[in-house]
Amino acid sequence: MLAASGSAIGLGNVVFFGSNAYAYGFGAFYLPYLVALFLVGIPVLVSELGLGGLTQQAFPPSLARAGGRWGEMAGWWALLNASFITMYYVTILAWVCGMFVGSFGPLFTAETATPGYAAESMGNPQGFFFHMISSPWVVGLVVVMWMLNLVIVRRGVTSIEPVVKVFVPLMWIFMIVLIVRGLTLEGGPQGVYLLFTPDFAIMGDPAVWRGAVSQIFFSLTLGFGVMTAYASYLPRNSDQINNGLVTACLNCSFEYIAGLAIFSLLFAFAIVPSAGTLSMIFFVVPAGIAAMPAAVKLFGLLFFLLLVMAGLSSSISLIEGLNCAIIDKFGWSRRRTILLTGVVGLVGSVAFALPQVIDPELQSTGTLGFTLINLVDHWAFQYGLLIVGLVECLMIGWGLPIERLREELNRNSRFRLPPAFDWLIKLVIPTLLAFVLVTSVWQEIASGAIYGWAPQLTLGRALPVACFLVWLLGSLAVAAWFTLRPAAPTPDAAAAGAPLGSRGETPGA
Amino acid sequence: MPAPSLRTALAGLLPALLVAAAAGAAGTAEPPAPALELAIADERPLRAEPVRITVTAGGAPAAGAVVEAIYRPNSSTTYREALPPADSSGTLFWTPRDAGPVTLEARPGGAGGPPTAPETAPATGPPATSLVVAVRYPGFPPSGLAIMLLAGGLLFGGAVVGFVMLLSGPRAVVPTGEPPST
Repeated sequence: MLAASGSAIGLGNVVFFGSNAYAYGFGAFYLPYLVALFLVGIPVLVSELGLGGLTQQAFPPSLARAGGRWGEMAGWWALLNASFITMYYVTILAWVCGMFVGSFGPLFTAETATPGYAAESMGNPQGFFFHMISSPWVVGLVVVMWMLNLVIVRRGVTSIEPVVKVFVPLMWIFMIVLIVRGLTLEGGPQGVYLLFTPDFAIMGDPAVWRGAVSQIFFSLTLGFGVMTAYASYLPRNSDQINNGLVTACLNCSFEYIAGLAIFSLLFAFAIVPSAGTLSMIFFVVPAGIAAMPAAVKLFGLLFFLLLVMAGLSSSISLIEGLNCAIIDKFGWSRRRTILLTGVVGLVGSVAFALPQVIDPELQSTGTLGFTLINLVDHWAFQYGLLIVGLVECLMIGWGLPIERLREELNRNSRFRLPPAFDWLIKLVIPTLLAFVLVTSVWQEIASGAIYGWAPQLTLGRALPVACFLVWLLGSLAVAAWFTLRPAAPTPDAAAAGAPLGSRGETPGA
Repeated sequence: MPAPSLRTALAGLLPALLVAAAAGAAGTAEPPAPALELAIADERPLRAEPVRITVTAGGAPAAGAVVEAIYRPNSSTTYREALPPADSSGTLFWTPRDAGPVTLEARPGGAGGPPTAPETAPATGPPATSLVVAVRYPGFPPSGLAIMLLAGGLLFGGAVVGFVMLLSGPRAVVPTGEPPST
């Protein structure tokens, strides 16, 4: 059980869950999140796993079985949208690594000068965090993280498994320690009330539902092509329904306990994010660790080391999803594919780590890199994943068709999906996702300005427009190009039963 | 009469500029107004229970100071509430509407002025001072307790059921026709 939980846990369960739960109103977020898990998340997860098991291929060719050329293009677009997220995921992983390094030094004790900001000396951990992300050495950390990722991917994603089996289960124990610490602080239990108590007035806002569904997609790695690629490596008779159920429940159980820890500490210390909510976890958890009765530095080091390991185990699977698709389509060698995705990914991650301070007042997100993350996250995370979910449900539901997929899934599982599952994929989920997307787009239009428009800031006009155009048009253009390129005559697609992450390996390599 | 040379003109202008600069410096040499300070009777006030806020400047009451409460600051669901101006003793009362983190921002009276509608209070100029407080629920809300138990039961229960199924004996294979054409 502990080993299986290792593959499900990453930064999404701690950094992104905390960020989204805060951003969308705590209890107003959690109930939609729970509904989204059972109504959308688990069915789509089972469908993605079933698709991979059925076709034994990566996401684009799998969707091509359902939707032809348009299906393949949707698959490539999904992977490219996921690539944007992967790029800033690695940057945030580098921040985690920076906090790990900082744990050796002043992170939990002294104040740190934060040059470039209006408040030049912020209390730690905020001071350390903003000092770090506005220092050139964070770019070096990004390079280190990419090197680590590529080495692991090159050696095969299973090569990190022994480490993950040890480190990630420790995250459970660590989170439980943090819960105990949080709940025993004055006001700590109030954070738990805050996380779970629904606020129906706020829940009427479609943006809350968008955030909740996006979090479920991200947390379960849906719409990334990863689950389909992963299932394509497994034997065709694997029990994908049970795999999906266990993965989803373990993943969200961890988010449950992470939420208890984060929000009890948040309330006890009355902390609010100083910039984008993605930075929140870097303030809240260290504040809780600093309040430990003993071994503060040890706890801090352990927490950030565990988070780095959990993040690495997830980032390699994100990278592997794209690699798998490129190898399947073009028949490239694994080395060549890793080189391509590595160089492009590194450039993107460095852009998301650019340390120039463009917002000294921290009214927005401070540095140029963090601002880029905030803007791209809005489109790729909040919209991109839902668009992919909508398109894949329609294609799997109507194009495959879903009845055949359900039969295949039921054949290999102890659970039996009822016929209602077909209509869930065909109609209910697409309707829900379309509603959330359309109302959100309407809200964007009604606001009168593109997301992130901040004329008072340096580049506050150009960046929001540029990010939107690069995300949408750039990814569509590359997806079309990938689709229209001829496939290799003998794609290395028949990798069923081969070791995970071994596509594109030449014999003996 | 010949026109004055550039050097003569500059020689006349320089003393004038120096005098003007000195006058300007004298004009800005007034001591800055003391910064506002916010204090609250209870740093974890209860929702729907009035709490006393005191605004001072250099230890003296800041009569007329304007305070705003920003609920869930820096989130997508944030909103502002303008509080009544501080009285002559620098005191005002606030009844929190929602539980959770709230930033209280105080500005000197007249700086931005009290907004006409609490929900549309403009953020004019940097705040003189701010204070983050965590507003408590009066008790554990039953709906929160129900969702916490439901979520815990579903998530941990689902994981346990899944593992039991995985670890139990061989699965019953149900023949259901041909596999999909691939």
